[in-house]
Amino acid sequence: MSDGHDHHDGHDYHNAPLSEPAQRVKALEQLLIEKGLVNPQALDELVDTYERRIGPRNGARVVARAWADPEYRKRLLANAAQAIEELGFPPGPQGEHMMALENTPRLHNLVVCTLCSCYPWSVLGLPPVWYKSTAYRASAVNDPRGLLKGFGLDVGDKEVRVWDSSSEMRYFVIPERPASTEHLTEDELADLVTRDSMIGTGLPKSPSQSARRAGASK
Amino acid sequence: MSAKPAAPKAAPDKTAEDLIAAAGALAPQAVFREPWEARAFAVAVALCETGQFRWAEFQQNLIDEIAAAERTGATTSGGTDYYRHWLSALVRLLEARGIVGVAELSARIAEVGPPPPPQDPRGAHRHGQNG
Repeated sequence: MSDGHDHHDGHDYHNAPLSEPAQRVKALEQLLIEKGLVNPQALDELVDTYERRIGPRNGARVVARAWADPEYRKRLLANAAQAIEELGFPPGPQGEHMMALENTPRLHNLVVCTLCSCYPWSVLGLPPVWYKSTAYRASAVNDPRGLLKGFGLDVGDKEVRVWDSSSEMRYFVIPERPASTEHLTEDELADLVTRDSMIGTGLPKSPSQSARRAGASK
Repeated sequence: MSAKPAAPKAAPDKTAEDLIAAAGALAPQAVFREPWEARAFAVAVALCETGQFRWAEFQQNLIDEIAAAERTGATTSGGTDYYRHWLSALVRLLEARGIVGVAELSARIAEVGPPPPPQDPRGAHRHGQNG
């Protein structure tokens, strides 16, 4: 900014002091706005999108469709990004190269990003805090079964396959369709799909669990 | 899958409880814990979308920041500390590209920071008239 420092006298003066990273971000954002490189409204929209509009409900719809429609499932396995876009979920900056991983009675898939936090934003939104933690990233590789136990998941003698996401490829899991769900609609199926079941650290809810949830909250 | 050489080390015995505690503490919508995290996130995505850099370039910087911290034995909880890495990665990329200068950023940080103490010389021409 070249027009001096008069804005010092603005209302920011009277706000609570900002934390150090908050100051840095604010300064950076101001400079980028002045240079015409970002637009504050576009930033607001991005935050709103990732806080509220994009999240695991998107992925749940994809999985439910794959459970209900074998042809869709084939397309999803062949070209995940395209099949996801079919449902109206555009790829984010991280979403161009995606692979859907099929759990089977003999195989359990687990997704991690060992180096940072690559994650299939377009279907799952932004990753949970633990996904980015050193503990998760290390133990998914070093002791995946122990890690699954930590999440309360016993996969028995299934093979556990760990997939390391990167900027080249992001993964998400198509969990096995729970038993006794033949009569459910696609919407009802989607309600069974949890975020963790698409990361591989959980399983979908059973219809009875889902009904209990909807009934008495406990 | 065989262990990857670059995978960070962590004490396996603490992992399970840590993870459950972390997962349980999270409200379903808690994507960002502090507003600045959301702004830092959005600035990086917006600049990538308008072609200022490719996502992979930013990503590499983020990987470097996290690796550098973990080499010193520090662990990342994946919360606010993660977005500190994110912000450092972004600033480093913008400085390397000459998009934002080191000096101008420092100067601006000083401006948006807490109000200067009363003896600060700038207090002399407060209210900005004449000068």
